[in-house]
Amino acid sequence: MKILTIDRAKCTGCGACQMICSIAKKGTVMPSDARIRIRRAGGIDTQYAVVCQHCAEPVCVSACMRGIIDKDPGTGVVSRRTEDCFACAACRVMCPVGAVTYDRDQEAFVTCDLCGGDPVCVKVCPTQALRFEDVHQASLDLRSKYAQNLLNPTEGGVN
Amino acid sequence: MQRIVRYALIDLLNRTAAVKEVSAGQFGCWSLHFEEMRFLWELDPEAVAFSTGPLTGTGVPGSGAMVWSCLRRGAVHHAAAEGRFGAALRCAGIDMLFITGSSPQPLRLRICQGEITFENPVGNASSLLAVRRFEDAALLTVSRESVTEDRCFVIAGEYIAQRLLNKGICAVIAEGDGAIPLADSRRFTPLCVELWQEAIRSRNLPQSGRSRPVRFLSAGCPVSPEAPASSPFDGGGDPVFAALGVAWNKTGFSASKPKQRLAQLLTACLGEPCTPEELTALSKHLKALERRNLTRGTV
Repeated sequence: MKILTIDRAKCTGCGACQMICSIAKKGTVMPSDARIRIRRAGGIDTQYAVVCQHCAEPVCVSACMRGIIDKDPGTGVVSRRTEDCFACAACRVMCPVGAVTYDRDQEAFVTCDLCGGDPVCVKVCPTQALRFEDVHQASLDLRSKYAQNLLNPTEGGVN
Repeated sequence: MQRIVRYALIDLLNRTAAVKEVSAGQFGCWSLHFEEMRFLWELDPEAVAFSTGPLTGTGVPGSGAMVWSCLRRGAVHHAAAEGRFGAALRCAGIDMLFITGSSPQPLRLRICQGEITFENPVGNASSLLAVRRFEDAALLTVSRESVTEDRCFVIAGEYIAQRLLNKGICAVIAEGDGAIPLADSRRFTPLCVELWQEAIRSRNLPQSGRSRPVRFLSAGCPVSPEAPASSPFDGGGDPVFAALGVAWNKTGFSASKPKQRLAQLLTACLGEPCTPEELTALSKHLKALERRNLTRGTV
């Protein structure tokens, strides 16, 4: 099972992922409707990418009032039947990373769908902070980083 | 090549703003201010113009390029920069600004969804971001030394900053959820991806790291946030790139066959065939315009 991971220590907030996502999904440059977003809290060290993490236990699935959000047990992808969405925004409120966005054309809330298994944002990430990798490898990498950080603390910490 | 440019003429003295669509030649770059719209300089020789190119904010590596223009001792003075403000302005429904007059009191400009409002400064300029309507807003703050974007990146030096301060502008915010037009996204997307991958392979990208944020869509040209904005682009760089909205020059991201790639991007973006020869001709035209002296009576 592959997931989209963000190495927050490498993410510079350049915005390439947000722009290419909007072009791929909307056919035009419309960053407000991109499914991966750059959040800026102001100043240095506060630009970072946010995207659906396809959580192991997605809160949005239980939050959805219409039950249109499902997690595929095989691929792990959290998907939704947007045609049945009535935009209550419960999923958006409950999402722990704020990855749910509103699509004006579909009139529904949407999240990253991994572009059918070939996410375009990964291809344009200049620092390779975005990776589409096996979930076990990603977990191993993260645990290794934490261990390294305990041994050699660095400024900014890990992720 | 023609481009429909959404042009805002701002009068700070009377606090009025008019937004119009103008059909501009030469790809609708900053030359518009000194050709079709050159009569505006007779209204106010101290005016400040801001331009985006057709590729500004489209997601191409280096497509955060934008250009400030003014008259300096009668001659064209312009300074290119790289940042988010140009893209935010285009998403707000405006491609170019022409700022005339001056306000007796300091004011802030808010550009939101094609409308321009004048606000009296209350509190810190960062409060403009706090009450933004759209997440991708970009804030400019003007000090005596520079114009800074999002309190982080310098996008104009002292000369432009002083001009804006003399006009009474202390901050500008641009926000909107509009789209930046793309004629052929199916053709544009692979070109864009290919360029990013070339930039990654060239290893000519800004130093990575969250503690070192980079300018919007920056590829190459590792300029620190505090560095003078125009230094990477002045002094020998081909003005055609920044004018069309991409920060490609000899010190930054250098795509292989840059004019050919640029022509392909413009064809996909504008929907009309563009050739490298047209870009060479535009480059010559812009260089000639830079040397022109626009004195009263001949503007």
